[in-house]
Amino acid sequence: MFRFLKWRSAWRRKNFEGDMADEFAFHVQARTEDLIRRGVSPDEAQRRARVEFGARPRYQAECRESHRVHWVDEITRNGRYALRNLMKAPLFSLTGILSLAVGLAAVGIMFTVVDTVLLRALPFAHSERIVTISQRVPLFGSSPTVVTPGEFQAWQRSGVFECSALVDTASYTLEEQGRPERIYGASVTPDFFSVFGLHPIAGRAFAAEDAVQGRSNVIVLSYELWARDFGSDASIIGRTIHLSGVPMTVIGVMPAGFEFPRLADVSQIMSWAPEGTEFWTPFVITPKIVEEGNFNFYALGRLRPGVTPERAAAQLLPAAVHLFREQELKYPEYKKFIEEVLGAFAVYVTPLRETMAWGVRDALWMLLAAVMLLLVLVLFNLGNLLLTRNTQRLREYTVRQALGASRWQLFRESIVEQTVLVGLSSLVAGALTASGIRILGASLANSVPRFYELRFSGTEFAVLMALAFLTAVIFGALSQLVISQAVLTFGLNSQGRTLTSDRQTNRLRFLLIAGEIAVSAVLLVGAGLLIRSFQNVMREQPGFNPHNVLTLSVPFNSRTTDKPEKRVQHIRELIARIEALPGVESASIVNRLPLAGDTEIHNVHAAGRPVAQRPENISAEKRVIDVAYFRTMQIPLVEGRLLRADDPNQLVVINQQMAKRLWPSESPIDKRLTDGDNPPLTVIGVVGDVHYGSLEKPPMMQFYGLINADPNWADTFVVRSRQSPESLIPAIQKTISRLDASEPVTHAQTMEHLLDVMTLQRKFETALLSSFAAVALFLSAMGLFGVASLSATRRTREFGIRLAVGASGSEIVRLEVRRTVAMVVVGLGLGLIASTVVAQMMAGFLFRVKPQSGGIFAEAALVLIASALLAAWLPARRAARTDPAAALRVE
Amino acid sequence: MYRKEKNSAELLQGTLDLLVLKAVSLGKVHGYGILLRIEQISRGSLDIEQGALYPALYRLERQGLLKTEWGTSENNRRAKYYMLTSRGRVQLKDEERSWGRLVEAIGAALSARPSEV
Repeated sequence: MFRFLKWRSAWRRKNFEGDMADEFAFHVQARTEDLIRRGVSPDEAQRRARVEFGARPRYQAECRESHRVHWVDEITRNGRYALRNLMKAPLFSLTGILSLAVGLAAVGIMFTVVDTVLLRALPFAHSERIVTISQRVPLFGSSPTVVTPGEFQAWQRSGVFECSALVDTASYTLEEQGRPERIYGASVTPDFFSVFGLHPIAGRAFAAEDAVQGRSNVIVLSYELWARDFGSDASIIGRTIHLSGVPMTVIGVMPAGFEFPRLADVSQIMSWAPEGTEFWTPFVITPKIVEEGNFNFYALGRLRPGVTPERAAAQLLPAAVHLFREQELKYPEYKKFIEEVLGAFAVYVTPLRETMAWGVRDALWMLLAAVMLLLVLVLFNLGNLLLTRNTQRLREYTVRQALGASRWQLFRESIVEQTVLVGLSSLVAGALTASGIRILGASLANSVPRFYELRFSGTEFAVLMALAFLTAVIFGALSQLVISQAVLTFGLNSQGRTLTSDRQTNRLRFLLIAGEIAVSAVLLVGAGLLIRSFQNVMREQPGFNPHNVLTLSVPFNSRTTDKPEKRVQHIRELIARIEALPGVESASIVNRLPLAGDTEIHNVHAAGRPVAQRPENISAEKRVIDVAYFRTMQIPLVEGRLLRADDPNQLVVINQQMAKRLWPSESPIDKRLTDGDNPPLTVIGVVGDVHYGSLEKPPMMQFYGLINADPNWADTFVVRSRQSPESLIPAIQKTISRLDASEPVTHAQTMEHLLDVMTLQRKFETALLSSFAAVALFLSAMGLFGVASLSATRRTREFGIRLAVGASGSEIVRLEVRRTVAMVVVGLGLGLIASTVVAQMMAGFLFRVKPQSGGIFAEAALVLIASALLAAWLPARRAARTDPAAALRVE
Repeated sequence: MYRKEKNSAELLQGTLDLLVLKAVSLGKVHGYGILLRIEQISRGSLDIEQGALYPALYRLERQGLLKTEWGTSENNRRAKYYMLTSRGRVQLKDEERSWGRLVEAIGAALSARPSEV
């Protein structure tokens, strides 16, 4: 019944207003006519009738109140009132709306990123059962995720997997479309697609027979390659295509979007992967590959239902240990070393979702925590703004309460006002979040795992809105509480400017500002630590001069270069032609570039001496180069001589690390070096250390041999130019294709670009956290400035008197600034204490900076104090310049 | 200063309600008519802003003491007419009685001579 009445009332709402207006008009009209009848002139009668009736809007409002129409009316009315109020203070409203919007959007974006990259299940059936297998082998510098084919075969038999696959990367030159094109993909054992629970959309997946030597010339295409190079032609299945001159039969096409392994997803698992895999070929595990036992491949598996990763790992460990023991029997001189490796050896089985996020997980949580802090600060700031504004409206509230507005009515109004403000902010925040996510997804899809899945989702927006409205209610209640206290003590008879009535508001304001300063301090210290680390990384010498160096890869065709001597001749011819180009200073070739993320680790020892027992004295990076490499990269010669084109194969150049570790107290020149099972090498020179893996890891032992000995993997040219290196790309491409049109040039990029990519993540984290800290600093300074301005304005009269009785301007400034100092001291104290904890948590992100670095704490504190004092001093100075006479007239 | 005003307004409210009910009890009437009747009944001694009548009317309607309908006025205009509900009639009787008792009591008190105390 009650509900029915309400409904009827809502339905009649429109009539209510019209009827009320009619009724009032009728009254005035009737009165006018009466007066005319009594002899009053019509104009006068009309005027008098209106005056006698009184303020029509007021009585309309009272009628509405007495009639108490539907709550919808109330809300719209309050909403309209709130909007009007917000518009009356545009600066306050804009600051409030925008700062809250930015805070909410930052949280919204980071939350979406964390959800997408870390929390959401992978888009495969029972994806939680897809795992990667890694192991801790304390071989210096090697990735934990590489496994040997022997291990993989043993694990396949262990029974913990429904299916499993070994993965290697592959690339070929596709010669279908007239112009040679390099395509990138993976070589996988037959169960690879079953691990993901996927089937081809056309044709078939690999069968066991495909992974047999001599029958493995089959290929599965990705949807993207099929669409791009074969025009989505359905008749492709069964056709033969030529890859680097080898005929391959297309047997299947995978669904759109499946490109595993993608570089961005697996950069922590694989040292090298295609940006998006374009094809898959069968991986044939031959007895020879097993015999070699190289840690070169990646293993994936789908666990049987009910098998936990931990149980699987426990079952995989014995097989791996067994293989190490076999190695020990084969190489007795490495016995002690292998024992040491086994002492710390472990096998890990990790869900693929987690391994994908290894490199970014901590950073993302850190950034999420930072934006939450920022939001807290924004809320403090908003609270402070509202408080300031409501204090300015104290007189209005007092009057209205005295006129009979109930406290509930005022409370409701302030809730509605806050809701309107927060509603507007969350709309802006929604737009910012959506576009932020779009920009992030588009610009970083190739660098951050799973960013291609990044979407603006309704749920996340709903969470954002809920958060926003909760804020509105809390602030509405809080400010009303304070205001009603103030109203009680305000009184119209007083000057309306009593300071005692503000004690509550002042205390709250003090806490809010101190809170803002504390949060800013934490963000500033965090940003300071990251900035210092970044500076330290950038100061790190890579060991070569990256300026004006261009690199390009040429995957040599097996047809033209099938014999090593022929290949070396071909490479030298190319180098000579490139060097002849105008603007080129020198050119050379190398198998793996510095900082490109890939390494080739060999086990070495000084011939005729006992094998070293520490991994860092055994594992060395091998580089295959041509003579001009050191000159081109500007790697300095330290001792002995460099390699010459006609040097015999067994001569090598080593780096300082190797010289120091293998021959600590003597010259390494003419000493002999053992590299695994290969014939011994002779050292002829020592060059400077180069960071091959990462700038943040110390260089390891390195040795360089000529391409004559091993030309097969040397495919990357390095060119030092006298001009901007990019401008040389077309000329070099033309030179290469003139010699052999079937060789596409790929990965043309400058060495400086590679260096940038290497430091991209750190740069990104540092830039983000620094901008948060800057916003925090700005907001808290704004907050302080607002409070100081308010106080200065309200005390104008007092200052006027003080100045009039002889106080100096600087005394006034001191008086005003003193209050700020108290807030800063409290806030900074709390902030620095919190920072010590936060800094400790950030230890993993720091490079050559101690978490408790006093210098950075001091700098952060100084920056805060300086900006706080400035924010307080400006209004205080204005107050000190008041003209006493004018000030006394203010009231 | 203001507080005093408010108190007198509160006192007024009860009185105004009673007068309105009384005016309406004399027959179906529109708002302006109620005003005229009150002026007549109180012989012009109740001086309020005319608009103040309406919040009282709306409140009494809401309380279920008055009911309304739209009709045509003597000079052929659409007007809203007020009538007493049965609850309104009962309420009026009650209030008249208690008002009479109050007036009697106050009258007696004010006419008391020192010897009677």
